[in-house]
Amino acid sequence: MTYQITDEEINKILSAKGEVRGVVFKTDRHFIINRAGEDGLKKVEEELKKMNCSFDYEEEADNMSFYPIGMRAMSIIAISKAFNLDREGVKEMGFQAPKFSLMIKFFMRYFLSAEKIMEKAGEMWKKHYTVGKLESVELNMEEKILRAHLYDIDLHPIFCDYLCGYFGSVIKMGVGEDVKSEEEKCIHQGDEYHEFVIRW
Amino acid sequence: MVEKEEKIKTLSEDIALLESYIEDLFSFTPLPLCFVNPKGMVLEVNPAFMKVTGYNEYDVIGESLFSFMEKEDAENILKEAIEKDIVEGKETKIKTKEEEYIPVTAFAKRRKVKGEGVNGAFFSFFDLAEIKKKEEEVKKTNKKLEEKIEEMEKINRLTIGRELKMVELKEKIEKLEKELKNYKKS
Repeated sequence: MTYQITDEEINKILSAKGEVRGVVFKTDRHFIINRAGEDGLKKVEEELKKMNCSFDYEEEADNMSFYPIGMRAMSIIAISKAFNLDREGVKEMGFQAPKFSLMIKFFMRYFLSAEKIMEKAGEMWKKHYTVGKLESVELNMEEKILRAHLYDIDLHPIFCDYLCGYFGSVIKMGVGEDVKSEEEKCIHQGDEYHEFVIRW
Repeated sequence: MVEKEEKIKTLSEDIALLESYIEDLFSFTPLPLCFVNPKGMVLEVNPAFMKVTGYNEYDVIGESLFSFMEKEDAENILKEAIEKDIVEGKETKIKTKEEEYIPVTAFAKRRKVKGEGVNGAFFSFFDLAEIKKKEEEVKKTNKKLEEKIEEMEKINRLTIGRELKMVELKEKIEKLEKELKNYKKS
């Protein structure tokens, strides 16, 4: 099932407070080009234009600069519309993202184990986003499960699906095994925080 | 405040320059390279790696190196690199997307981060496919040569045998002629 986004939701997303590092748009660009080449990029940019938030991935995205956080969700929404991605498709996109993120390369030294990733998760989040707080709250190596909470960020459920894949991919790099990631609690479902659970 | 901002700007520009320098170098080298964490998960590959194996970055990054190499060799090389710093010239095989195994010489170098210890290892591979192909060709040519030599020796043996027979026959004729002469005399 693909996402239905209302104008009201778009306005809410675009007025969200906080910023995100440009590296996420570079990562999105990589995903788009790999999937559909330059034509795909044009398609996504057209989708953004239709939603009144034009963005040129090639010219405007700079790895280290900060951008309004709403653009993070808008970029994912535009990609999902351009390529008709359902929730699993967006999750897969999130799963692929850490592979190309320059910021993630800075954090490679933490990808040694689930423990290390758990310890540094908050720090990694802060390098990308000026809002929200990520905390790993449980790690059980015997049962092979990691639970993380994300507070104070409520852009859109599409962002949750994306993060679900993203966190799964990061943990896979640390534990060296295939993983399954789920969002078991969500601010958009009335919970106080997002809870991501990764099992391997 | 302005001075601090200026410094940050300069540092950001320096990082961007370094990033593009490393990327250019990494992309330029014709040797397949990759970086793996201590669990063997691939975190970075260069275009040469993809060219040789036929995979793209999505296939490789975040996956285990052990799926792209002879597993036991890969584990041993990684273990040795982490323990001893450098592994030089181990013959092994890497697997292509078409499930073919390419013979390579593998090199590995551990990466240490100040204050944090070993966080992985670089792997590079020297493609031996062409060399092995040439070796095979040389082997085949040698085998053919050996066969030819054997054949020549056989012919030689036969020729010598024939000549010996001729000498023997000649001697026999001479003896018979002598006997005939003696017979006529008597």
